[in-house]
Amino acid sequence: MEGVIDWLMESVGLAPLAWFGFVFIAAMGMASYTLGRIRALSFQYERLSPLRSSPTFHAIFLLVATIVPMIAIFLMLAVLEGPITRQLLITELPERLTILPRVQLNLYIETLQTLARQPEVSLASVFDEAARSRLIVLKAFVRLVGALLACLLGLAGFAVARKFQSADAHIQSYLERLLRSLFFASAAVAVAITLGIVLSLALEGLRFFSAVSPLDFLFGLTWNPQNNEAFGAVPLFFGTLVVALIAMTVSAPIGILSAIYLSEYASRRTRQTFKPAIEVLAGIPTVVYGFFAIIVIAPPIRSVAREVNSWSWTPDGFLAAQPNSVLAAGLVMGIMIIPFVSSLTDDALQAVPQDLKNGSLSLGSTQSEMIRFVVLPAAAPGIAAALLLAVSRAIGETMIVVMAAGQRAQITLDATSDITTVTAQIVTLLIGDSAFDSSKAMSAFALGGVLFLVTLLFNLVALRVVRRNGFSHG
Amino acid sequence: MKALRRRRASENLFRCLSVGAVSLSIGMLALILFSVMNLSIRAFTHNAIEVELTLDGLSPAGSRVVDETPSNIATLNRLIHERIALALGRSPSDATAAAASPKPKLFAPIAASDMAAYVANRPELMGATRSYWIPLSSRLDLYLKGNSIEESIERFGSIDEGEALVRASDVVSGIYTLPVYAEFSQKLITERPGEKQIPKTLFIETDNAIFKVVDQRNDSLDLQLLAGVFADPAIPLRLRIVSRLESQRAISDQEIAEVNYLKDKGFIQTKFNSRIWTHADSTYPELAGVLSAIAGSMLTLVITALASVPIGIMAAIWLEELAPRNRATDFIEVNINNLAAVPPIVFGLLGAAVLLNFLGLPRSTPIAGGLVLACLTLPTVIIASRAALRAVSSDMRVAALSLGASRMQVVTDHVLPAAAPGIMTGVILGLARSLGETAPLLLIGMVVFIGEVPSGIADETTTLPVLIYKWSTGAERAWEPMTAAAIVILLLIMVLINLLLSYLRQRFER
Repeated sequence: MEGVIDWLMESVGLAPLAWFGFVFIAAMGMASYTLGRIRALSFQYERLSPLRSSPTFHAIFLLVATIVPMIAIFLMLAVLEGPITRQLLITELPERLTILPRVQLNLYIETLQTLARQPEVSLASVFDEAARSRLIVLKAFVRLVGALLACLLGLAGFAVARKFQSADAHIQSYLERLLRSLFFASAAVAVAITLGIVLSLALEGLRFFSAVSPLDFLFGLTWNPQNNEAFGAVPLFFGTLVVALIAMTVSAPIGILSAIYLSEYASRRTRQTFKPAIEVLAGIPTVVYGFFAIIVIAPPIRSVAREVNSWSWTPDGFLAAQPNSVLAAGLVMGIMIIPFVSSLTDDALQAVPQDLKNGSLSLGSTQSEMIRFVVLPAAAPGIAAALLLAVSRAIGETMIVVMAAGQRAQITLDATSDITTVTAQIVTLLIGDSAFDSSKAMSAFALGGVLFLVTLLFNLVALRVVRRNGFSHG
Repeated sequence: MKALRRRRASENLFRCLSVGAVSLSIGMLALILFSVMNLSIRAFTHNAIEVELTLDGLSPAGSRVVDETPSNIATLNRLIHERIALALGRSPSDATAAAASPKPKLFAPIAASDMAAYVANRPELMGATRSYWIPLSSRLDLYLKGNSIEESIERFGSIDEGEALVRASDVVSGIYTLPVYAEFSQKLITERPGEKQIPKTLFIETDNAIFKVVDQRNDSLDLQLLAGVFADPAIPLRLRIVSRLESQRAISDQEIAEVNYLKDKGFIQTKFNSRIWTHADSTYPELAGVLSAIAGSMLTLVITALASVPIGIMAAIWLEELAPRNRATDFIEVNINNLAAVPPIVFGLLGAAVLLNFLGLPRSTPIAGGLVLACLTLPTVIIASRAALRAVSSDMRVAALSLGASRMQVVTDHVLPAAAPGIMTGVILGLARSLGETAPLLLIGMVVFIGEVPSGIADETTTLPVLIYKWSTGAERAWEPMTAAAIVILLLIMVLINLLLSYLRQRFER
């Protein structure tokens, strides 16, 4: 008997919580569904006429009322299971361990908890082995208590819902109202995400600004977060601007001209082949562009820069000729943005009424004159919006600059030097950090806040331009 | 007439410019794909050493017991080194001695860990002789693939034919003297016109041995035996000219000799690199694989889908079918449109602040990564689903309402099924995009080194794009082709998803 209980506790402690919870939820759910249906059918037999809501709705209603509280409990269990078992174990550990510094003790228990998920690994120390089995048993105990609680709450929900059941109950409308609020809640999630972004950026940003003056941050010329001292972000803004500028210089003409070709010159078939081909560029992950920039674009730029340096009339070190360069990052980002510009421009061009085009052609203009003097002006707001969205995209792009632009915060017009940007710094500041207690880590949130506001501004303006001029995309 | 010609010229110019823009875009796409694939080819094959091992001296419990794994790997390393030393022509006693202090390293010190794990569960292998393939160290692998060191090979068949080239009496402390004609020696010394003056290392290779030229005189060469068995360097000889001296390259002369010797003898062969598919990340490029990252990506994708798809579709239904037209609804709409254009990295900051710090989710795990990507994907799913719902003809709604269906029934029983293919397309596209997302995952710590395949959503892991980033920052040159290979795998997965998508779309449209 003892053995059976031990075995049971061990398997409960070792089982994945999701399965453990699923078993209970499924069992209770099936029971409540069946009972609800049987009860509804019994109403039907008593009345000998159809119910107001079908028995299936009755069953679903009871099912929902039963399993929702259970799911909530198991979700809580998933979060709290670790901390609770840890506390329980600490109370049982011998004193030689509990007097250890908190960090060490936590580390020890964390190791045990990791090992408790790998029963096949045997441990060298007998004590550790015993502590691990005890941990598993405690975990099982916590889970069983949690499961009991979940079942009780499930029963309570079932009982409450059962009170609502009657032959004339509007069960269907209850369910529909429930569904409706669920739908509304889902839509609200999007707002909650925005709120979360704003709050987290604002709170962490404010903490940062309590240590560093906002003026120093926005107008300071030195960026050196390593010693938690110099937080002047102007070099980062400059870097971001330069990269975005290069990217737009590449993508705006190529994107707009491509769209003109696809929309005005190309035959239907050519359009159907090349439009998706250009859009493939948008589907390539940005990390691939970053790699492409390092491997293919940066080396030739560097050797050209060195060649220029070796000319007799250029001073020594005229160009920085760094392995990472703002030019490489900007060019590749330009390629990445081409499809955004071209597809949004294409939408704008397509929206220009055919009558305008026909009128222009019938008055004797060539096709290019028609495009330049009629189509482009008509589509100008849409194209402007496309460019604004593209700029916003370029400012927020991260991987290409992290991989190819470099890490040095400097203000220079030399496109072959390495330079860092807002997004690249956010990644650098947070990549190895788990606790945000330093100004260094929190400055990432201030940078993120600036980034968020600037891109938001661009997007709002773009949307407004599009909306006011009656063109839509998407 | 002149004006007409000018207008025609400008027409042609404009047309050429626009054609040029399209070709440039497509050309860039082709260049990206070509350069990545071209580079990745080097990583999909690798050179491996075949060793025939008789397993003994291993602890039978194998890797089951944590503490015994290192000692088993050490034992295996000793056995492998011994076999390689034998293959290189050393005497058995020398080989045993060489295995005790192995130098140079032809393979990674943990290359045998797989084998240790394999034999751990198979005690019957103890004492049995089987052949195993050990991946060659990535530096040497790149060298054999001809990607790291410039070298050229010349064949000679006419040096002092018939004469015993090396006299035993010349042997002083492992240095052999090879008498040669002055012209031959001269030929080695003088640089060919037009070549830059880069110091070179010369190797003389015969069928059974590889020598290094350590000194050069007018009528003789001093040779040092690096690999193989000493014999008269019989003709034909091969002369291997390696650019740069030993101190200026990452690969020693000894390693070059050993690797070439083993390759000639067939112990080293180029094989299909299956490790890249079947293994987790490693600190050694030759041992690394993408399996853990693919598993991590899939787990993350599942979380993303579970979190974003139902919520996204329900939100779209609310906005498109049920929401009253008022300011609050407008606000939600604007909000969603803006959220779709927020830079991904900002979602990473959200994840770091809210999911990790506030809610205390474990760092570097699929659950945290998946939720961050879900926030990122949600607006895309909502917008795509709304478009699909809007495309459903309103006749259907009116007809259903007129037959007495409730608003909810209209949605769930009629509009939603009709819009399902469109919704599915949008959802899959959104998820495919999230599969390639990197930046937000860096902020929640997914760029850690994880050498194991994750077993659950709360295990530390990485995802394929993050792995690509991590590999691209690797110091060794061998990471370059590995990164390209990982990119090819990522792109393949995305192509597969898109093929699936177009298949489903065709099926449902019928």
